[in-house]
Amino acid sequence: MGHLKLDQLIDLAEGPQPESSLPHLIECSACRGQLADLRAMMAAAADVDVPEPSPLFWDHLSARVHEAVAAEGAPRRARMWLGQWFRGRWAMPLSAVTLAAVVIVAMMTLRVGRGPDARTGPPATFDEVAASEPMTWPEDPSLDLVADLAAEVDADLVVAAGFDTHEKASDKAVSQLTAGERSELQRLLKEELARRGA
Amino acid sequence: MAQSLTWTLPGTWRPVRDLSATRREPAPGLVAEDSPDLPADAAFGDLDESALVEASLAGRAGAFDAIVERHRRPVYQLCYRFVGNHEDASDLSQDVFLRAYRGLRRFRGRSSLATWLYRIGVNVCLNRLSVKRPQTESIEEQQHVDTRSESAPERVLRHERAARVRAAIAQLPRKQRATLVLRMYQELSHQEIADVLGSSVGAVKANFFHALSNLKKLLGDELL
Repeated sequence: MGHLKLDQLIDLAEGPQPESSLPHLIECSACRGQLADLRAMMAAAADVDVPEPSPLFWDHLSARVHEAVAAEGAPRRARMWLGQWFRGRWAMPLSAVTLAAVVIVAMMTLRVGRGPDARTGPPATFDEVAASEPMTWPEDPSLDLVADLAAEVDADLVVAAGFDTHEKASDKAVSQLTAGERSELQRLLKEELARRGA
Repeated sequence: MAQSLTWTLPGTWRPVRDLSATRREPAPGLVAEDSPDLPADAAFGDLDESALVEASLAGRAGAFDAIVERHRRPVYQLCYRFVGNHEDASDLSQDVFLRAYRGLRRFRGRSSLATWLYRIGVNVCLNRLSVKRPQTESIEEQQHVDTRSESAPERVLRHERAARVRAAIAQLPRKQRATLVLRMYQELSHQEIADVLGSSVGAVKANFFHALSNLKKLLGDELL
């Protein structure tokens, strides 16, 4: 009889499956050892607390969220325009870099290695794009950065920003960048490259 | 009037005159039309999640406040598990709720609101970790843990042990780490974790197994 599978070991370690239901465990010291290790690691991890913040913190957090939501306005029916999102005062510092990645994903989707019939097929989902085969490109540090950023793009954010992940939507998104936004994108890419020492 | 403190972006304290006044102020664009079907703001705490979402979408500012109040602790704790310090965790918690608010129309109720918020939280936290390596708090900064039942040496030992485990968890691959956090600390079921991470129950169990195995490798036998 083979060793226990991963999911069997997890079910045993977590408790829903009794050890007596798997006779292999009695005769296999390797599986018993693995089970003991899993349980020990679960016990060690369970012992790590999150420090309780000040009691005042929770109301302060609610107030911060309330203020941020107030600055947003009502939940949107339609998708936000790129320019509005780009100018958002709260989202700006982190999201600007992510915007770069979003735009780059759009450009990569348009430019790189799709089959001849790709444009006639159904739109690719974000996961399909992210999981597609690695692509080759010339040695250029900015493209390395692009690859890194694109790998970190969050699909929710892409959609929230008013983009979609199929090709025509990406095309539209790229074309909507103003000269100022393009300039800002270049600046951010340069900053990121400098930060990474590329 | 007594002054209190509130957070301002990007995470510095500033005094405000009256926090409660700030909370009552309606958000621009959030002034709802009178609706006989929607309760007064004071009654939002009694509504179920779908009613709260509906009321938020209808423009009732108090409804989203109630959602925040209900979920702020688990969301903060999730963020803290990823970044290991209060300041980043509180900033990220705000970001999670803000993004939830922006995307509220896309919440279909197929999962619980908590699961949906966790999904946003995991994305936000992993994105942050890819941009900035967080500064883990020192033991001295973690002031609010209840330690009354421990002796001083026990407390030091527990803190050291927790710090080693936390550091090891921080080294896990992203999906393993997210799986471990959601399973061990947020106590989500395997199915809920699969919903959050967009994977299968089998993949969740495999990730959890590998997370624990990698923890063992990282920690060695020192904690066994």
